[in-house]
Amino acid sequence: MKTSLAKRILLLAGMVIAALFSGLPVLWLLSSSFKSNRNIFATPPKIIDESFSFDAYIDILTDPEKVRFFFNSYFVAAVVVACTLVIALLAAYSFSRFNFPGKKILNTVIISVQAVPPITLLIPYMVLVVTLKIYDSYPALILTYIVFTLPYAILMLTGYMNTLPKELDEAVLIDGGSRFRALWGVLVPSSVPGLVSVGLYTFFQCWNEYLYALTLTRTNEMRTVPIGIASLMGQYAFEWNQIMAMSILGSLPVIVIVLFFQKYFISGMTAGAVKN
Amino acid sequence: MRSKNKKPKYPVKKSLRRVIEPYLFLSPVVILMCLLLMLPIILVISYSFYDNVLITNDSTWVGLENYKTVLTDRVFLSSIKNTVIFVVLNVVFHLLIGMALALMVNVKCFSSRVKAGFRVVYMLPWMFNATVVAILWKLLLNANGVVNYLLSQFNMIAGPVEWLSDRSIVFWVLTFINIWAGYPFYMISILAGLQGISSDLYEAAQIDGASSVQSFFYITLPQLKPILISIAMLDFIWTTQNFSLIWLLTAGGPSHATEMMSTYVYKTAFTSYQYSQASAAAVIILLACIVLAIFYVRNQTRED
Amino acid sequence: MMKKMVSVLLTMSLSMALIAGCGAGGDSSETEDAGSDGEVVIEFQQWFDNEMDEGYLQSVCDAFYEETGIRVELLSNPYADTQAQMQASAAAGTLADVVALDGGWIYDYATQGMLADLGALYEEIGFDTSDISSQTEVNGTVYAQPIVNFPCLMAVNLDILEEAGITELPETWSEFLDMCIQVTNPDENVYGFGMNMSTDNATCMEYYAAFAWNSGCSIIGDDGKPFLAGNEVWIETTEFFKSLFDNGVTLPGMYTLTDADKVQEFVNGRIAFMPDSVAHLTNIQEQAPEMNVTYINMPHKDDYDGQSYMRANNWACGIAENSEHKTEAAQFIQYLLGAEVNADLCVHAGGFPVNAASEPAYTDDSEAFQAIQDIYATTTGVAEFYSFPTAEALMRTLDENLVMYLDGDYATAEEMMEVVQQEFDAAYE
Repeated sequence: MKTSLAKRILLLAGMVIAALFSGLPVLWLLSSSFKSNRNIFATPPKIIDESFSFDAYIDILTDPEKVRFFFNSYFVAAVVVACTLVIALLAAYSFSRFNFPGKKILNTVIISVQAVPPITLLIPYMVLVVTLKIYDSYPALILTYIVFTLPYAILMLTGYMNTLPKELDEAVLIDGGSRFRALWGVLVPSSVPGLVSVGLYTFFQCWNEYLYALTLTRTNEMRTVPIGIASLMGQYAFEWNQIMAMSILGSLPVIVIVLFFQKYFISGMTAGAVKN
Repeated sequence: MRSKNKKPKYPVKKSLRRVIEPYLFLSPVVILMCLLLMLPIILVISYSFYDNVLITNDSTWVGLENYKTVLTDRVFLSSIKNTVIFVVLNVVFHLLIGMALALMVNVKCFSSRVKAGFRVVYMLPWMFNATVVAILWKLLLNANGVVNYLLSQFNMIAGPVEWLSDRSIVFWVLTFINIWAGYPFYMISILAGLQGISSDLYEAAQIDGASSVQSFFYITLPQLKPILISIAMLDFIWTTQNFSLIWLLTAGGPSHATEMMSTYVYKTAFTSYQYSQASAAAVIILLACIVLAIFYVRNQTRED
Repeated sequence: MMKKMVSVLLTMSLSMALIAGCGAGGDSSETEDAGSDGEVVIEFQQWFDNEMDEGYLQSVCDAFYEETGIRVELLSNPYADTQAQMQASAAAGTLADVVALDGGWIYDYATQGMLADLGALYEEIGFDTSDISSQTEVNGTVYAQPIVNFPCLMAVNLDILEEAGITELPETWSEFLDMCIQVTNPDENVYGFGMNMSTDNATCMEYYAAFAWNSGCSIIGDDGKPFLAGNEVWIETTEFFKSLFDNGVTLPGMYTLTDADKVQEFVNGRIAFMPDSVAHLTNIQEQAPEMNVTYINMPHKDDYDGQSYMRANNWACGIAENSEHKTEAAQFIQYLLGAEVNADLCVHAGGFPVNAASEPAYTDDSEAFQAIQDIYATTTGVAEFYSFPTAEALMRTLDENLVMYLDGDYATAEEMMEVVQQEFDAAYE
């Protein structure tokens, strides 16, 4: 498909405007993280002012407690992404390739259980976690986030799998392969873009969750970045620049991950895989 | 395309194993969800039929009393109205913006590096948690903040606009911020969906002389439809529960102007200590979403 | 009721866990632990640590350990959402032994049975409280112990006043309004009055109430219940408050301004007068070292010449009812209230001692802190809202209706207070 120059310019203009829409506020966040606490609120606002420094970043990176928050966040998120993807793949396979009694009901339940506002589940959930003796531990956070992210993952992966022709995996079964081989050998490689997008979503959910992370842990050894950020907002003192710096630091590795997975978003990749 | 009704081409044994196979694949999900989600939900449902739960030891069965209280509460009713408007606007704009951006970064006429750069920029709002998004927009929309400053430089406003405390505009401002914070999720999901559309379809359409607009409406949209419906429905459910951002920006105020069901539930549960009423409100939200989910599942099965 | 439900949940979840074969695998850390060599460990959950010099509170706990052999584990929480977390912990039985409390919660937590009776514990450990100036009682029983007092006064940016040629400080409402009008200059982004009104922390209504309190008004009727509608001075205060808005001397965006936002605006020289906790003083001095700041009490009604009152606020602690080490916890509170320890805490927190025998050797010799000390010595603290059930929810209702009144949704202050009174009365049903 050839695109005329005028069209390309128009398209580029649209992309730039959209980039300003999403990027400018974040640019302001970045610029604030270099300012002194006071200058963040100065008028007239400047992108870079005389208080420019890396102090906020240094303060965070030299505080072992805060570095621990980062480790916890990444560790929990990584485990959750892995577990959620595996469990959701199995479920999505079942939903996509089988017809069985109770399918509709299960589907409805999985979708609608997310509808209960998490805040109301907090107290019973807390009782449960204490009963299971996993209070203030990684398993508490990991299990919680797996459960919270599963419905989306199942729904989306089922959707992606439904778009893949049945002949793909049936070929494996005809050749005498097992269902697991059909799933891992054929369906998984073909649904990589779907897996990446679900994985990203799961990661961000874990990365950003605050209320449960706060309630299910009690020591700073187990806590995650959002709580670290909230700790910078005391009752009487706010460290605005450190709040900004902490969120920038948190998002950097994510940007790297996204760039790393870029190739899976290149158009036509799946289509090609299916054809061969 | 689907071949559900065709006879399978491989040998089928009518064995027990075959009957339970789909359930085996589902068992991890079912176990986890039953234990960690269904149990608490059942408890919340039971709370909603008692009074004074959790705060005293002598709560009694009151039947539908809590539901009556909640449903006759003027504030709850207006919070439902606010939530519905908020959610619908969010879903619609998330979808439009997400779709537009996904299509833009999916075109073939730029180098993949350029597209990669834009893709990351478009995803930025997603990388920050609600606390930070709230602080950031508070900074920007402060009466003396950047937005007012720029607008006044261009003489577009007379005096400082009180974006977050003027009751007539705060709701729309909040909606805008939430749209900003949420569209990348659509963009990524749609982008992943676009990869699944076979390029054969487009080539065939091109041979038939279809314009790009036509191929969007006759190929892209129908192909993406299952994914679009899924994410729209999930977004609907999630936005209903959006709490942190609203709480940190306006806390439902000023004077209930941005009161949503989530902030209502929070206030009822944790500052009025009416845990039973909060549970009743939660169950109402649950029921509404179950109805939605049933429609969704039906719709999905019919398409099969 | 709760117990029944929890036990049902317990059995169900345990059987589920057994079926799933995934029970008790985690590296659980028991809360009610006795240390390895039998020493008692109590937990102290608070948000103070984040607000003082790093490591200071830990050093206090270490000193306590030296003295008594009781170890105190500090659990530091962000201030935000502490409430939800505490409720959940209480329900699950994991509430720390000693917990920090916000004034607005005490009544409710006490009536819910979350907090232990401190009076009885003090008796048990032989703690003589004759020097202790304040204790928070609910229905005659002490449930919370203030540790450090923070009066809430009005911070004044003297530089703004000077620029407008004002040399006096306001004492009455009219003087205050006049000065606000004189200093307000929207082109320069300077406003007379800035106060947080966001309902994220509805205790901001106490600042507004302080205008009334310092005019001799009480919002508690003879029956011990809220007295708002028909309360003359209270209504006048509301009208006076509106006049600040009508004269355009208030900072834009006040309706959703939070406490922290307010302080930032002050630090940036945009507000001349700001009702605020004196706990913020250090923060202000750090961020705006060159600003001339002082404190005054809230202006009073023009014709009032009675006693002075101010909004009282404090860091308070309670002991969890389900704690297994209540006496040790009480000993820790006793330690925090010891004359020297309490004095030292006050120096570090910039507050005032609860132990009357404490003589803090303040290092802050600024004019602002001197002014605070002078006012504190001659003024009586008030915290009337805290004796109402669901105090925070009530203050929020007040806030919401006040905004409507300020926006002109109510014709008169009296009409608005009638509505608020009904809501307050409903809390007693």
